Amino acid sequence: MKKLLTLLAVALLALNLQAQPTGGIKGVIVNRSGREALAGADVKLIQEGEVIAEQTTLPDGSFSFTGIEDGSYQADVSANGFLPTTVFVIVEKGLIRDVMTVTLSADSVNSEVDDSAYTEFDMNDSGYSDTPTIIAGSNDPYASVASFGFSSVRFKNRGYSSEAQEVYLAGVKMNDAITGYTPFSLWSGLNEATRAQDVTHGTQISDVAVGGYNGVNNILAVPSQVRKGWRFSALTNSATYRLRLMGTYASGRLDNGWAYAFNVSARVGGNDWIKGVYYRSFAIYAGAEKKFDDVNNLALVAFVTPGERGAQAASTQEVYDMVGDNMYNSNWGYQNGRVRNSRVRKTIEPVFLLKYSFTPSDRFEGNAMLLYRTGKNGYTALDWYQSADPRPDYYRNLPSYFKNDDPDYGKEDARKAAWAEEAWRADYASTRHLDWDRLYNINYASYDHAYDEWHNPLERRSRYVQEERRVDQNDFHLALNTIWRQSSVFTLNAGINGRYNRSENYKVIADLLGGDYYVNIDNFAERSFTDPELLQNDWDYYMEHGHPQLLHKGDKYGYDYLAQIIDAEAWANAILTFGGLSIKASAAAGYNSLWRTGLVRKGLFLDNSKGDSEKPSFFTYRGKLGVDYSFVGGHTLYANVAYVNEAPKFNQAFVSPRTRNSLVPHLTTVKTTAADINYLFAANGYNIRVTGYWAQIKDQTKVMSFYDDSQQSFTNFAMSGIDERHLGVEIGWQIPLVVSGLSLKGALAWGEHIYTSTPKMTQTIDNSARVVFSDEPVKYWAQSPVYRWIDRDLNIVDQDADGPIIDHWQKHHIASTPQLAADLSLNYRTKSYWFFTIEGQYFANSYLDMNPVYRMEKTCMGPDKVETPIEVEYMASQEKFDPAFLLNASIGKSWYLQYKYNFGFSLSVNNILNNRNVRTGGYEQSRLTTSSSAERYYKFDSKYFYMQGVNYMLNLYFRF
Amino acid sequence: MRLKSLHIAALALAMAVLSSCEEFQPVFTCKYPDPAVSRVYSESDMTGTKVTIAELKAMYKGKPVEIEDDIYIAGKVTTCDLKGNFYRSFFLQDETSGIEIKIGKYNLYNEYKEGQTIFVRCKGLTVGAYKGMVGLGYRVEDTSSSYETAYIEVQYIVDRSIFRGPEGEKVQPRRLTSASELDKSIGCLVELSGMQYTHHIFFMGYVDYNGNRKDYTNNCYFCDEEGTWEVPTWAMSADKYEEYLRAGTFDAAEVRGTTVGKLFRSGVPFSKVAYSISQYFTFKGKSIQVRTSGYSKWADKDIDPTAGRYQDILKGKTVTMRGVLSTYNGEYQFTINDIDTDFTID
Repeated sequence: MKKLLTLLAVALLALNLQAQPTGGIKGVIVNRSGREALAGADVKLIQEGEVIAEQTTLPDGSFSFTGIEDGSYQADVSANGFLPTTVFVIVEKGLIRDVMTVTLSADSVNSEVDDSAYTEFDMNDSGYSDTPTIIAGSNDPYASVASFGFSSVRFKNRGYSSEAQEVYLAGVKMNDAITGYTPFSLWSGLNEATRAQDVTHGTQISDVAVGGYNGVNNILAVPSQVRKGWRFSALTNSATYRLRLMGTYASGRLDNGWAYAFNVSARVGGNDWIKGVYYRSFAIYAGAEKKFDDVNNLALVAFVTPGERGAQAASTQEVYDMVGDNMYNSNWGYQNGRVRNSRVRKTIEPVFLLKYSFTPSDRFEGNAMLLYRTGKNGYTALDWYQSADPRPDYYRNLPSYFKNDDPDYGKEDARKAAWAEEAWRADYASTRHLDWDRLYNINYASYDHAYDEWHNPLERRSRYVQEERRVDQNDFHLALNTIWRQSSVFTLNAGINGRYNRSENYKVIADLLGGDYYVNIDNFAERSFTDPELLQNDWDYYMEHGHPQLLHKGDKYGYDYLAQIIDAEAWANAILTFGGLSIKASAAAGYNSLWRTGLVRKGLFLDNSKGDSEKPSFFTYRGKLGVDYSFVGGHTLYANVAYVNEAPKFNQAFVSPRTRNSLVPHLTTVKTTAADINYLFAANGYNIRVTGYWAQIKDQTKVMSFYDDSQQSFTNFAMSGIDERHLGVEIGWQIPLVVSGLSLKGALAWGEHIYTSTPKMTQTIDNSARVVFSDEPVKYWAQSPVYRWIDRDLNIVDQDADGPIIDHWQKHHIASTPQLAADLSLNYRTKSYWFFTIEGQYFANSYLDMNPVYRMEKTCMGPDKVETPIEVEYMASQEKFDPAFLLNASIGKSWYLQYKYNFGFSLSVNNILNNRNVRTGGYEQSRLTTSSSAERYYKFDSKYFYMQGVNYMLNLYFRF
Repeated sequence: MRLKSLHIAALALAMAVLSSCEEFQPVFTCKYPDPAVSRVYSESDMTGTKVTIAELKAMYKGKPVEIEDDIYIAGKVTTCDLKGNFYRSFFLQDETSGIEIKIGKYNLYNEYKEGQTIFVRCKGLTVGAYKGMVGLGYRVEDTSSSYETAYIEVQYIVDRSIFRGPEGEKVQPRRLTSASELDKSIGCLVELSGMQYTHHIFFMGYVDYNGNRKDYTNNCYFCDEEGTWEVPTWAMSADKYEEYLRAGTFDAAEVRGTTVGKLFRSGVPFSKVAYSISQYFTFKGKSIQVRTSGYSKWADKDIDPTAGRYQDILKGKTVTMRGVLSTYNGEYQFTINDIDTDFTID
């Protein structure tokens, strides 16, 4: 760590050399993340370019050189899996110089983060999010495997959602202010510039924060931390995008105190498996840093990743089966013979960082950061007015809409079903895809005379448009953190963070699709109301002009509001170290406030749509206790407990933020209690971690909006009091085998992540804010009964005096992640820099996301208000996915030229068995149909995402 | 070794070139060119034998007929679902007659414009009747259904049966001058002058939309009689209808042993979904039921807000309407496209 330069005390030069040198240098090497002692690190003492002594650290991480003369020395510290660092030391007056702790940052083992983790999964306004958690690669034996190996199945570490993972940039917490989601996409494509990271796992504390219960990932991001030299790479892969080109230059710390770094990349193209999914993303990073003297250091960094990505939609199995492809994507269609995706994420979100470091002594370090994130983030979608739903897999276009073998569905037209199926199978007239030509042609001929007074009557009113939903953030951060190493026993680490986020949410007309204008009215309201004032998205405009705004490309419409959020926190970590034992105690207290500011007045909610909402505020706090003990021989045992009380996020705080200021009922903080115990063994090439963890999360809320068939209306659902319990074990290992260069690596994660409460639900009609029901229990959310059947075919359930006998209760699980994941790989590295890997993976216990409406008693009962075992089992049980086995292999080689140039390649082939039936996620639809007997409801089919089949990635690189 | 690095550079270049195929198109082509105008069919594109709409309707002899011969009809669209009074079907008219095409899709006005020529290949479709009104649709699978034709619905069948020709002038309605002309104009766009309001209303609804629709004692209520209704609109949204129900305006109907007004005032929730309401006029002495949908854009709109003129209609002032004439069990029904253009006070 270059900044440890400033740990040096520069003082008087010794004038006299003693005949018998008594001076020395000692210190302790620790892992920056978690501050565990690093045994086996290599410390080279260098004077005037020559290595004069070399040592390996002891189990407690300590080293000590004695019998050296006064003078200035350089200590190069390196350890397997860590970025090397250099410390300059001056020995004087024959004293033993204690450099105390030298911290090493983990080197990201996988610089090639699997970009497929960022693939935009189109959840179709289902209310579900699909933001990946990306486990940072590090020297941790578990994380090094799980980070890359588990990403293809969208593994959620310990079952936690994306919000639980805390991601920092140079000490500034970057999790999205509105959603809490991890912000990796802000810097995706800047792999080299963000390579240096400090990573902690689970409930461990970090240098920059108290942290939560799913690790802290601090990306250092300053230029002096980017690896020195030039780096170029070209990567092609068949799973995400075709080509990535990347170039990086970092100056390292120059003699004049400056350091510069640049990183640029381009990622473009489609892939072999999911048509319509493509990248057109660029990334630019530039940073300059100046070390003015031993005390003051200033770094300025700016980066941006402008680009667009096509999204993938989920479909029902019926559709996949007809197309014969589980990777079918309904989002795109041909326009003039070219593939066009209707759902594209478009972003330009620059981030600016100013970091000042202050090191007045080798015992104290202070950092102050100012960070500003701005720009725009858009997501396109089709919007239509009084026109047919254009999606090819709309349920009325499918055979199942016409025919179901069960006569109770009342769908008995086998002939129509056969014709519908024929159209799908033969892809007649592009049945399988969006028909852009048709949408354009409808617009071409759309002469509408409703607003003739206000425009040229020859202009055509688009019936279909492409909208762009925008969330344009302005995110200001100020963070201060300090480390005070009072002695080798006591370290205090503290800081304060403040954030103000002001994000404008609105949509714009992205493309009129061949028409000339669109009209700013509420299509949904128009189905229920005829009074034109009620239909207005912008009532003030209507009242002023006498007509709704006629919209052209780029115009804002629909909704427009600010999400405003204030977060502030003060925190401290205290670390006591006695030899191999260290004790850590942490605490933080915070204040959070959030509110909505409506920028337009909506006709339906004249009094509650424009201006500020209520401003709920929350006092939050968190505390942690941890103990580490390092034994002789590379064994470490550590345990942590944590209690975290967090404010709810903006996106779960409003019933219908697009239309009005109403807050979710029972808005409260989310309380998490977590604990883990870990055993680590690192010696002689072995690296093993075994962890057991437990966490309980209470009082979460969730809001969703969708069409409710029982109300025949678009409605909002607010669910509160959602509790979860997560427990499990994770094991990672790296074991050298008898043959030199051969090792066995692997990871095993088993957990049980379940819902434990009966949340309460409030439903309101979106058009009128009328409450349909309030605080009704979601009876079968946490579990559902499985009845004892005498004869399943005859549907006879066993009864006793109390009614049907329940055989057992099915627990309901956190969805869209395997709760059992295992990975075993055999790795071989030769002395001539070849490497070979073959890897097997097994994933199981993965579940489908649940729609809470299907777990409510009234839905199970059906229209006749009688709940039967058949109905409950059908409606409330949770779908479990089939387990999957995957086989992967990779090969690579590096060449060195003249000790200066390094070039090489790596080629990996994943899913060699071409398993195309691995479900990675999906969601339940919200709609219901009434049976012909009017006794029960039937669900619409669920929608799924699948993992890609066999795919490759080839990376060529050149460094000097 | 230098050679090797050259190889790698060449390989990288080759990779970039080779992969610049189809998937790069959405990448490097930011602006998609506008698609061509879709094909306009003409008579010469049609194969098979042309029959007139009257001939097609005459094929119906009391039982539904699935057309097996390769015949087609051509006509102009006379209806428009934009204002919501027509729904899931359109009427096609030639010189001989008019017929309902039960296409089963929504928002037809987008692709089937009033006055546009449409060709319908009838092979595979079914001519059938509902309460005496002959239409063209699809075979009904459910034999218990009172309909003889179903909606075509499946896009594949629509694409292979219905071909869009050129847009053109709207069909001029037939101006009928005597009641004897009514029967010949069933299915056609007609203009009826001198229509007189009869204070006769029809309405029906369900207490529970999901309940048994045939339970006339507890669930379904209806009324079809004369009275003093004082309803100043021909189409009523669900909200307006509920308002009238609660006010007791429609208390001529009873269900669950009480009047509908009392029932809904007692707290029973009103189902907004399925209800029907229409009013009767006479034309040259013949009763004509004017059908109006609560989903129409002119629902709740006063027939004529001009002071006193609505009262004039109640007092016997006659009106002229343009719309499609249909029949229901021997009675005449009449459906207009748009109240703004198709309804005038004489």
